[in-house]
Amino acid sequence: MRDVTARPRRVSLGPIALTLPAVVGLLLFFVAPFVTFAVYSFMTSGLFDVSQPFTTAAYETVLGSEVNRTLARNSFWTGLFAASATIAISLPIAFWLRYAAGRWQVPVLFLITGTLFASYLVRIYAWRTILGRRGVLNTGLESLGLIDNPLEFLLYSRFAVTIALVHIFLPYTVLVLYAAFGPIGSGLLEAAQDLGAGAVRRWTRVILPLVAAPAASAFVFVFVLSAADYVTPEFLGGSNGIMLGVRVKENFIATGDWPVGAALALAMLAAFVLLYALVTLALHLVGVRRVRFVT
Amino acid sequence: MTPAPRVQIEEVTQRYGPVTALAAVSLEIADGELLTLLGPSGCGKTTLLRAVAGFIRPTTGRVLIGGVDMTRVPPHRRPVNMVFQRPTLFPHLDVAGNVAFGLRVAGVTGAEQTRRVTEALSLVRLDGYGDRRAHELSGGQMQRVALARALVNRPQVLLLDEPLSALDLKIRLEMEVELRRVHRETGATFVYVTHDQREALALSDRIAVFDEGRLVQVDTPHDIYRRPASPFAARFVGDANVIAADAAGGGVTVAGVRIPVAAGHEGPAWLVLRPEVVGVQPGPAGPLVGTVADVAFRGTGFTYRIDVAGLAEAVKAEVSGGTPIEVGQTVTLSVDPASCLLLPREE
Repeated sequence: MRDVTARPRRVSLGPIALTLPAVVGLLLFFVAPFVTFAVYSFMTSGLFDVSQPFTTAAYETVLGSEVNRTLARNSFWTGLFAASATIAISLPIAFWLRYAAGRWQVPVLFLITGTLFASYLVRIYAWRTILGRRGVLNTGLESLGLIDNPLEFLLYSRFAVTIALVHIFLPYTVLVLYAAFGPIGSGLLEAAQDLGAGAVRRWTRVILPLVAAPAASAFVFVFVLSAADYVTPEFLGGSNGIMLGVRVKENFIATGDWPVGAALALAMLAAFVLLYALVTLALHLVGVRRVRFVT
Repeated sequence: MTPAPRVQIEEVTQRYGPVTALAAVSLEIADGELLTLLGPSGCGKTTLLRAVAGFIRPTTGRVLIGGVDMTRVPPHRRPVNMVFQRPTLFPHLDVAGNVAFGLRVAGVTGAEQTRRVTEALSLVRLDGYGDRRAHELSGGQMQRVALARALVNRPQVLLLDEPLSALDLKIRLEMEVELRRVHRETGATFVYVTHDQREALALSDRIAVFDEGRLVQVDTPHDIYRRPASPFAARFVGDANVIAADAAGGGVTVAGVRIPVAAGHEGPAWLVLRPEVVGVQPGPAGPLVGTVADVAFRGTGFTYRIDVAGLAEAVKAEVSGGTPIEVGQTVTLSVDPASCLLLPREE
């Protein structure tokens, strides 16, 4: 047998070979387009074309625009409401699934994840049907006599966009939080109860601190995806539900102003990175650390 | 006048559908004593403990703590604390935070809180461990933190649900010593649950033996060991031989051999023989003869299982010192009539 201490060890090829496809894929489909985008944002616009000289004109247009500021506010609030509502609804559901569902656990989990089988677009259309003037909700309320005329604000509004986004992301957050509750044994909650903590205190002093980190991740996940979305606002947003993502898409597909589209996209990215940093800082300040569970 | 009992359990019954976990159990626990609920798995001892803790509301009956009816009071409002089988320390808090949990909930803050936490950690000999985390501790240390976490609240009753069963033997023996010391030093009322009769004998002021939901006997360890009230108690505590026999005229006939036992009992009986009172001699030297079926080395001696003609079960004997007698050898058993116990037997 070789004496391993006598000569320098050879670099093992196995792990490198296994990760290489993933790294290549990441470089090709993520890093390269991103770099291309970044470069575009500093170039001069042509019609569906970019050219030199390098300039910051695109950024000036993007950041100076009044419309963009309104849309940014729109996107921010939609993202915030969607993320908050999704987490707020998912927490009790995940809690129930983990501790109280018993034999209902599997069927309910199946139902929740089952909605993911329907495509994203199908779900958006479904909301159009439900919220429309002749939709299920309006006709239902009218037949019950609660309203005389159909409610207009239901569809083609920020309200519709937010509801649809919550519906779309709920299965993901329920699953993430359900998994987060996994290592929190019911013994832990019993111990808290034994030590004098009623239901509210059990939530504030045991459950929330332990799921704060996963919940914050899920929150950022939903926020970013919601605020940047361009399909949902296009189908359900009407004129006052437009968000920034739609503008990025417009610039690339309709207007043909690539540098501006790219600059807008990168500006949004910068904002999301800032958000992520703020959330991480907030967690740290509140004292939430990564928790090591003991089996 | 005897002081009022700390815990009174009155006719507590717990049913889960067709299953009766507890059948009309009545028990009084004196202030400051360490009482053990002992029995095999499924006998109801943990169910009763949880009824005292408040995690179970009994189907019928009452639980009184400190003279107050607590049957309907939820666990977080009872003046009791529990040490669970698994330590269940909060992973997001350090040791001091864990111990302080109950105090914080009760509104004890600042210097008072720090003082009591330090005191509690001292009590369990974990001074200076305050800033450690659960995953940095051994099993025994975690249970000691759990003990401190419970005791720091000065509960009227401390409940312990098989707290040592998840620990290694050596740590368990050390923890037994710790538990006795903590009980002495605090003077608190402890209710202990275990299926380990050896542990029960070592720790308790009194033992309550349970069999399938019924309370079978409550006595001091010494009395239960020497004078079990039923075949079940005799078998469970001390692992005694319980042999069917017939008592007549001041003696008992077992496997054709007559033993003069002064019992004043007539008719069908159970002869209770603790393994350590059965003498074993190699060779056929007397009337009670058998064959060795199993030998186990115990360090201090040997445990034998001996088949005797006419007896349904093998006789268990513990012999200290000496040389082992091999399986298959013929042996003679001897019994001191003074160490025999007779219990009535129903046909």
